[in-house]
Amino acid sequence: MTSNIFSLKDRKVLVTGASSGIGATVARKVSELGGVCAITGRDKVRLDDTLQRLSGDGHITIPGDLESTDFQRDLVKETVRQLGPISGFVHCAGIEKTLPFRATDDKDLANVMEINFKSFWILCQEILRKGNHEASRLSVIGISSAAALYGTVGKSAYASSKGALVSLVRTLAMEYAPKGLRFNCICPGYVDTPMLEKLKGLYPSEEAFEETMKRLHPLGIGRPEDVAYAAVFLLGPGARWITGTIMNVDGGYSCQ
Amino acid sequence: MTIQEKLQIIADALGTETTNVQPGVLLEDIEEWDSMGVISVISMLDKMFGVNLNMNEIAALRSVDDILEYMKEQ
Repeated sequence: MTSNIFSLKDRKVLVTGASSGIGATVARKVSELGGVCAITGRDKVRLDDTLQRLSGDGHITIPGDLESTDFQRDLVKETVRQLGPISGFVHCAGIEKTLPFRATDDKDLANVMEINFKSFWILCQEILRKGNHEASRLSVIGISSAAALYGTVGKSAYASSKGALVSLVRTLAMEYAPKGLRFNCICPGYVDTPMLEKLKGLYPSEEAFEETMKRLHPLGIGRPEDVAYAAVFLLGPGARWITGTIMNVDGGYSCQ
Repeated sequence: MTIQEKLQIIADALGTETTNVQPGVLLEDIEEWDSMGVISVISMLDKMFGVNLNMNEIAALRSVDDILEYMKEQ
């Protein structure tokens, strides 16, 4: 048993935001540990590219826009139709918004909440319907953010959406523990992804950006793999007794 | 849209008084032209005028007039 605590053999895992960054890497690591993935993202070409990089057979892509509630519901239906009941769900889809509070209008807020939080809400509801998940084995992971827990200038909408994710995960962990279903959050610091590339542009120079990142993360900036390893652990049998946890995976960001 | 209305929009984006945002004024002389101020103006140009500035264009912004140049009504 000890040697298999990371095994995801025969587990069917839905991964959102799998076109790139953390989502694509989570899908890759899940497949390397024997899991079968349903991956989704807006960009069909990049999603196909992620699919090509997965190990093993049987993985599927379901391209679509998580801003659509219809797509959110169809996504679970289609995953179950093609793969059977879901045993893992990792919500990596998310959009970043850096804007002063005064300039963040209700449309900005609605947009960020829709992708980062509401889609997670709807997908969880659909997955939790009878027949859509594997009883006693479902593990759900929300990729939140260090911004959910620590104040950061310009992140009012983003941090609120990620904080809501944390609160929902804790509630669901309590509500579904009697059924043996697990819900956890990972709060990454800054990770080297396309999302971070966009943030780079907000700094006066490459040096200023590097300096800030170094100061925030004693262990240096994160890689998508760093987050993916935490996710596959939480998905697997080794995390059987872990639910409602908010796991900081942030190179020391949160210990300062 | 009059120039006064445009100046008011820039001032609102920066969270400052219109008196601080006048043609000929250098952005570096406006206290609110910090990183958050820059982001606010970029966001305003995108939302209200459909202008998406690239990094070079942002770095080239020197004066209030440079911002006004991008505020063309569609």
